[in-house]
Amino acid sequence: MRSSPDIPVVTRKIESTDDFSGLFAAHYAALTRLIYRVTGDAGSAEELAAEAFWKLHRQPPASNHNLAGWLYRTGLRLALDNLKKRKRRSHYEAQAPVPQAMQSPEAILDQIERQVRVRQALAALKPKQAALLVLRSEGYSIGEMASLLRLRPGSTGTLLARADRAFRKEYVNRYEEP
Amino acid sequence: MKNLEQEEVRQWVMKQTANLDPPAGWRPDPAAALMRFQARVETDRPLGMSWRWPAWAAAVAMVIAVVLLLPAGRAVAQQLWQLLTVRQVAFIRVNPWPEGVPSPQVHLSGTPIPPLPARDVDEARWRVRYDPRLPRPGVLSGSPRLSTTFSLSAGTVVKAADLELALRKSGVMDQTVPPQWDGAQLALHTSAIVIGEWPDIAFAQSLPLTLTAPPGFDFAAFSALVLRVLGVGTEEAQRLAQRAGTAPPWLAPIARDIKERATIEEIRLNSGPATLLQELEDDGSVKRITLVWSVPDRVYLLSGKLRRELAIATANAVE
Repeated sequence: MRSSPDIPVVTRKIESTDDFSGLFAAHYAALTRLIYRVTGDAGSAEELAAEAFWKLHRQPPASNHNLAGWLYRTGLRLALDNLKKRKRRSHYEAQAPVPQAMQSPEAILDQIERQVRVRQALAALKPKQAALLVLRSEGYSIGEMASLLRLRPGSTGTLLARADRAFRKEYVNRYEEP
Repeated sequence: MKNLEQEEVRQWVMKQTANLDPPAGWRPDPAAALMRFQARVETDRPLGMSWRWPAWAAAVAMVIAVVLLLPAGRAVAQQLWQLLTVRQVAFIRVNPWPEGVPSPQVHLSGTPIPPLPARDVDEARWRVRYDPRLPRPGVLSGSPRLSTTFSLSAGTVVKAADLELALRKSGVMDQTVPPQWDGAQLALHTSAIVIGEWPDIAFAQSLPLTLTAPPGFDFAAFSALVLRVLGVGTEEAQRLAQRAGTAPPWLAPIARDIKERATIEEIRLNSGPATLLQELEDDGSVKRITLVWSVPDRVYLLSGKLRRELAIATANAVE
């Protein structure tokens, strides 16, 4: 679960370097953790989070309303694209976690297998559905998800339930286990 | 009823997605990331491509690029893939890859990110999640500048036709490439790396490397075959491929054509065997010494312009 408190919704223009640094300080860690859930790799999560900030810096959105939402949507899209590309390029590449002390190869393999399955099922969903599930798994509320993904709060719960069903169907179709 | 079913699905999905939790204790570092970002803004160039890797990274990249040379003494049948721990390191002298044959393409996953400076050992430990070891104070003059990297992964896909052609071009006629090797994906992973730098000397350490491959893939046979392509004789190739017993060694190839300018020596440290590579200037003076060794829970690389005796003393003083 995310360790940072509420995610503020940024609604003002980034007018100075200080503003940008503030945005970076407020959102970088949370965004990186979210992206990690999709990529499973700390290095690429940091890289993709930085890339989202880079895009914001180079080509900011026309509207300055809810820049945090823009950042999170961009970061999650980059992460999901990365996951799909990686799947096409190499099924196994970079899926293995960093070797950690006190973990047996069997335990690592079991963990990898479960993660690969979940990520493959996520990669098959519509991006917004995958984003909803990733945000919820990180502890975001319905209101926060609605704000970050530009959804109507009233319909976000329904969309989330639909995403749940789509994920389960995809997972069961692939692995034949409920 | 419908709500109950929906709740059951929700709980099930949450249980599955909980598998994606980041490792406990992992905290992205916004301050370091912002520094990298600002450096990128200043240069306005794509992140990663313009970074100049220090010597240690070149060494790591070189070794990763020879993932094909990793023999294993056991074939571990795993459901998903094999996962082997590399606990030995050594240099071997080989021929270049045959001309006219596409050489194996090795790709690093992700964009290499330069090492992040660490204030002290505690900060380095917190980042890499293992205890960095350094030579005892006094062996090398001054204190090292510490930095850490993220984990590195590199992979390659076996192309049976290219390997077959390489065998023939190398004059090996008594071996064939099993067709089932075609498309097999191999990858090598390092842990996060800790680097200590003194003037002209770099000392890098990682947890044992991890190697992944498809289930049932016979590393020993594969490695023996690749070694044959690189000019190693039949018996020697078999010996190297099998010598590890239960863990594959990490074999870094040294082209034979630098024979006049480099020496490779197996030496004995207090902790066990090590390989010492001496690169020489045209006038015979030492250009660089690289010492590679391992203990059960670490792989070490010491490299720089230093005397042979000092390199060995430094390695023996790591604690």
